[in-house]
Amino acid sequence: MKPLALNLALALLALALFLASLAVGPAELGVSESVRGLFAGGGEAAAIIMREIRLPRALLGLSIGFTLGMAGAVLQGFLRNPLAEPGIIGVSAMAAFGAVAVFYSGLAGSALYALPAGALTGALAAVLLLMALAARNGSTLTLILAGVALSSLAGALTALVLNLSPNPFASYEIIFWLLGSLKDRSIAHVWLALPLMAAGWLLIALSARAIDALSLGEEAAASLGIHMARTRFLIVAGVALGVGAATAVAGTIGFVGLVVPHLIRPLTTRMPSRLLLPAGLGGAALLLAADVAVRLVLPAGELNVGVLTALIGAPFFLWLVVRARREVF
Amino acid sequence: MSEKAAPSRFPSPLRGGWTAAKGGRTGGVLSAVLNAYLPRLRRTLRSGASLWLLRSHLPLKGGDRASVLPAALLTLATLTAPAGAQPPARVMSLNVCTDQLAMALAAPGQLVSVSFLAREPDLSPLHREAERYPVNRGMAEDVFLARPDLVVTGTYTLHNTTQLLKRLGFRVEEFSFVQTLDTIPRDIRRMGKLLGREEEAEAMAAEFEAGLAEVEASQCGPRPTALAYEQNGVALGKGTLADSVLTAAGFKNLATEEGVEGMAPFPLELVVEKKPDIVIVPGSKGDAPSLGAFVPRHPALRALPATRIGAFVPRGSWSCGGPAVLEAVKALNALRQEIASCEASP
Amino acid sequence: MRLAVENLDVSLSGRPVLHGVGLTVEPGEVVGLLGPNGAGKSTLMRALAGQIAASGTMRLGADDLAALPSAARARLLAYLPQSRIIGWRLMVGDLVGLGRLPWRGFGARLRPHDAEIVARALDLMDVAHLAHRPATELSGGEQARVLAARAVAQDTPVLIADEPASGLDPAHQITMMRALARLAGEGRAILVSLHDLTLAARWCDRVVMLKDGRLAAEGAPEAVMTAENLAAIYGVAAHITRDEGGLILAPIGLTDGGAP
Repeated sequence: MKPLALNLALALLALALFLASLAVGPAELGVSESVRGLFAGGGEAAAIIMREIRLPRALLGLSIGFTLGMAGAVLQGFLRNPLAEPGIIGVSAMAAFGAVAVFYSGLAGSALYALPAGALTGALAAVLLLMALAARNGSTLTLILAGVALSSLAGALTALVLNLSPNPFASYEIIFWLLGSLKDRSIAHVWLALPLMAAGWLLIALSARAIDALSLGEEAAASLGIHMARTRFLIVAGVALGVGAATAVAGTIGFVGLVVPHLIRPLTTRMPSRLLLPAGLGGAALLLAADVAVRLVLPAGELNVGVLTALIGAPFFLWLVVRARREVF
Repeated sequence: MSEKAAPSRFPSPLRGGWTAAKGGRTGGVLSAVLNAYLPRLRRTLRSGASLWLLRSHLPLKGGDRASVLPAALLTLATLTAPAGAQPPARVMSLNVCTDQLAMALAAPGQLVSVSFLAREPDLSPLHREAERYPVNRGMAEDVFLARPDLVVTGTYTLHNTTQLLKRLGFRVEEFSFVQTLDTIPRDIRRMGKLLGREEEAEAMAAEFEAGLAEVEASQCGPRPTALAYEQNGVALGKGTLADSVLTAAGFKNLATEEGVEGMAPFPLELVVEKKPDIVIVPGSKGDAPSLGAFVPRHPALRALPATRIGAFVPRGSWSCGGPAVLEAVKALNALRQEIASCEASP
Repeated sequence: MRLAVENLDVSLSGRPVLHGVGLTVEPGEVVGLLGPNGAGKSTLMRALAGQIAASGTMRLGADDLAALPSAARARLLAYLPQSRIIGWRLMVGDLVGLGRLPWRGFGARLRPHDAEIVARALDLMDVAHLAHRPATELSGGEQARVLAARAVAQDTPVLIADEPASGLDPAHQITMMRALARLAGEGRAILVSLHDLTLAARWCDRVVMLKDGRLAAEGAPEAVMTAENLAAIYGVAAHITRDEGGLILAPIGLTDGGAP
């Protein structure tokens, strides 16, 4: 498929699902009512529902999905590892732990900005650790095992911090942090996370040439003029910013960054840089679709979207593990 | 008793179980997930944990645990013979709601300890009184050490502790948590009888009934709509204490109108669509941070031009079915008169 | 462009690997780098490619190789590593196109000029017919030639190739060496490490022999690829003959009494 056609098709798909996300909700608004609400403003119920509830949710679905898809694609490219993904290698879990540690300790009162501050720190620590490990021993197994250990540790620490919180409700929020959700976010969350994620996209995009060259290994890449330290910085910082900010407002949403690059890679030249944009768009489409689905399947007691992505992603991951033993992607 | 039917101001897993859940939860992530999704399984796990705690934490310094436990059980059996006509001398309350009744009615020295939640201002109207009592964590071993003649607690709450204590021969009286304004005078009288303080209880119950009747008599005309909206967007619907309070104070409960039974998630969008006249949210004073607290403070609610949002009821006053609930009824009635005065619409 | 190395010392993890090595590769010349396993051939090449730190002087024309920014060096010196890594199921044409990275702007596609150079590199390595096949599905020998074509596509005055002929069948070993000779014929300087002594003797203009990280012998193949040197450097007894194309060397036994 021609890159332009592919990107266009995925962008249209994401747009359609973005609109679907705006259209779905417990308040049954008609199409014209929704459109008017979205653009007219004012104190009408439809306007408040569209602008304060559904629009932030759809925007977060779009941008977080884009971030996760792109982060998965860049990590796979950089580590030359088809199983790399922010969730699997423990970056999301560490980001969640960071957010939880800063927020629930009350260090910053109950200010929202405590969430990304903590999440970015956690994500950064995770990516640095994994890169150090991957640099010493580049095998898939090492990375996945390190990710498993990191995820479990971060999950346990998250549970610990939440249990120690004096707020009796806090310990029930573990679900959100382990299996994220986009429910009841506000536009404040969008402003908090979107600039950070956008900065992450930019840094990741700047590493495009490097990940192409890295298809041939680090030595060949360096001989092609790729500055490895700079590349590492771009990807560490880009993934930490993007995944950290995404996790801060939506909890851990796993497998989007794994599933999407794999589904889309066969439609590209398989050149890692050519996968970044389509994987981002595909990630946005997948997360929006999952978020629409959770609202349709259980409208009242709404399922966390992280549950759904895990339900799709985990079997996919297993299938990949089996396939990875025989094939190169 | 189903989780949803537990009509309390707080999600029933919390109210019912968080004391024990906090103490007994050891398995990290997995058990956290199980805790949230599978309350029944959790109860099973917890009973295992309680038994384990009882066995391993008996205060037997230097003694042989294996041989002392049966001996201790024997002693207990003789200690807790039926109390007869004598009022119990040592009473222990394991639940924040029985705490309120017990503190209000017990004779000096009669109440040995109250639950540690009794000191929480958000949950316990008598939190100041609670400072004067030792507190317990609601564990079987607390009870075992204190050796009370009577244990009062809630149904649901610490369910397995209750079973265990009964098996060990303690006298345990449970108070139902299906509480409404109607059940309060009954519970006051029952607590009075259990404590041998019938006169005090009768006076308190009568005062409560009179105060309530006065408020109900002042009601009139169309009722404004109200929604009690808790952390994480959980609403208090039909059968809850809050529902009966709202009705008595002259409001229509939006959650009940929309078919919510007990406590259930209530979509933010529906709140905006239905535009209740008031939304009662938890007070945020001094709370440790939680994400759930953001939902009742969502900008979408604040954007509703004609809706009043606030705590409105005195702190902790309607978290338990006790005499303090009357304060909540009165506060909401005053608000209702302000919104739609009965004098203006005869 | 002349590649000149003087007095090069390299240590890996604190262990000295190269001791005061010096060599030159003139434009138009194929220089063979010989020596037993562990002699320091790959280390020398990696130092030249800027992959590991080294002390001593490395000059590329008038430039100090160590001081060149990595992007500028990539336009002057191409390096074909010994490890043959192909990360994704890339098409051969796209893979070889990666050689144009140092010459491309950010995110730009291949210009016609780049495409022409890529096509020539594919031709030179006899892999043009594979251009639309996934590189991961080729045989080991085909992959080796595809990766070599990538380095050729970098179109640099200097090319350093670490054992490009290992694992190739005899015909493709000759294809590989002939390609290097052609590149030298265009005025490029080529440094190539080899294990096949006959291949080195017949295709290299000069050979440099390393042993234990030191320069052991240097000169025209006829002059230095002697039975004595082979015994001293490789520890082998070799049967050496010659024809009109040059020397023919066949190792036939070990010098420590392991003769057949």
